[in-house]
Amino acid sequence: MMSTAAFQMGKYGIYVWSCYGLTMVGLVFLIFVVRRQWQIELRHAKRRMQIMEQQQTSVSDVHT
Amino acid sequence: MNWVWFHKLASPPTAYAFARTLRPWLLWPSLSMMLWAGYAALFVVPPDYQQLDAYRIIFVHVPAASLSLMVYSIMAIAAGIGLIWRMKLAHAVAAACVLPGSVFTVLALVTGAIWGKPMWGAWWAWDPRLTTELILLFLYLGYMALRASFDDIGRADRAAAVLALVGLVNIPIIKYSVVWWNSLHQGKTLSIWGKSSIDPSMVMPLLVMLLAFVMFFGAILCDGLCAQILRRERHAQWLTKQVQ
Repeated sequence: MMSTAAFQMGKYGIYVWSCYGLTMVGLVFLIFVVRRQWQIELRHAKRRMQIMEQQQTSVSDVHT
Repeated sequence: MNWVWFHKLASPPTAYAFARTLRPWLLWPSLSMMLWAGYAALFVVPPDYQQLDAYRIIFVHVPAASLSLMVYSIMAIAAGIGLIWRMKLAHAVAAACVLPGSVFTVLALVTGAIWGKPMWGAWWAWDPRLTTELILLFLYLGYMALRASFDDIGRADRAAAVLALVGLVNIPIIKYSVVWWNSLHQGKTLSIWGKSSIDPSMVMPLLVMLLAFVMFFGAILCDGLCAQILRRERHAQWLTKQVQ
C-alpha cells in the first residue's frame, strides 16, 4: 500500500495534484464537448433527411 | 509511389468515414498511455535533486505546452492550404483544431502558473516565454471570435485563415524565447538530437505522456472534423448513407 507521504509529496502535493486534476478536467471537457458538437450536427443532419423524405412523399402523393 | 489514397482523403465522405474509424484506435490507447505515464510520473520516478517533488508537474505541463504549439502549427498550415488551394476539408481541419488548441494552451498556462508559485514565488511573471504563450491563447480566442462573427462559412474560413497565418510567426518566437532572451523559464528539457537535460529515468514517462497527448489530440480532431464535415456538407447526397 502506498504511504500518504507519496501523495503529500512534501509541501508540493497541493501544487502537483491540482495540476494533474486540472489537466484531467481539461481533457474530459474536450472529449465531451467535441463529441457533443458531432452528435448535435448528426441529429440536425438526420432531421434534415426526414424533412426531405416527407416532402418527397407529399409531392409524389399530389402527383398520383 | 501511389498517392491516390492520400488524394482520396481530401474528399469529405472518405475523410468522414476515415475519421470515424480512426477515432477509437487513437482515443483508448492514448488514455491507457496517459494512465501509465501518470502513475510513473507521480509514484515511480525519483524526485528532482533541486525542485524535489514539484518537478512532477513537468509531465503534464510540457505535453500541454508542446501540443499548444503543434496544434496551432497544424491549424495554420491547414488554413493556408485551404486559402491557397481552396480545399474545403483543410478549412474544416483548421476549424476543428481551435478548441483543443486553446484548451492545451490554457492547461499550459495554468499548470505553469501553479508550478511557478513554489519555484519562482509568483504565479505569473512577464517573462518572454509566458508572455508569448499568452499571446498564443489570444490568437486562438481571436480565431474563434473571428470565425463566429461571419454567417457565411466561406468568408469565415478565409478571414480566420489569414489570422491563423499571421499568428504563425509567434510559434518560433515561443519556441526560441528561452534561447534568445534572458528568461526565468527553464531551457528545453527534451532534445531529439542532443542529450536531454533531465535524468534518463524521467525521459520515458515524459515521452509516453507526450505521445499520449498527441494521440488524444488526434482522437479529438477526428470528432471535431466529423462535426465540421456534417455542418459543411449538409445538402450533400452522400450524407444520406452515412447518417442512416
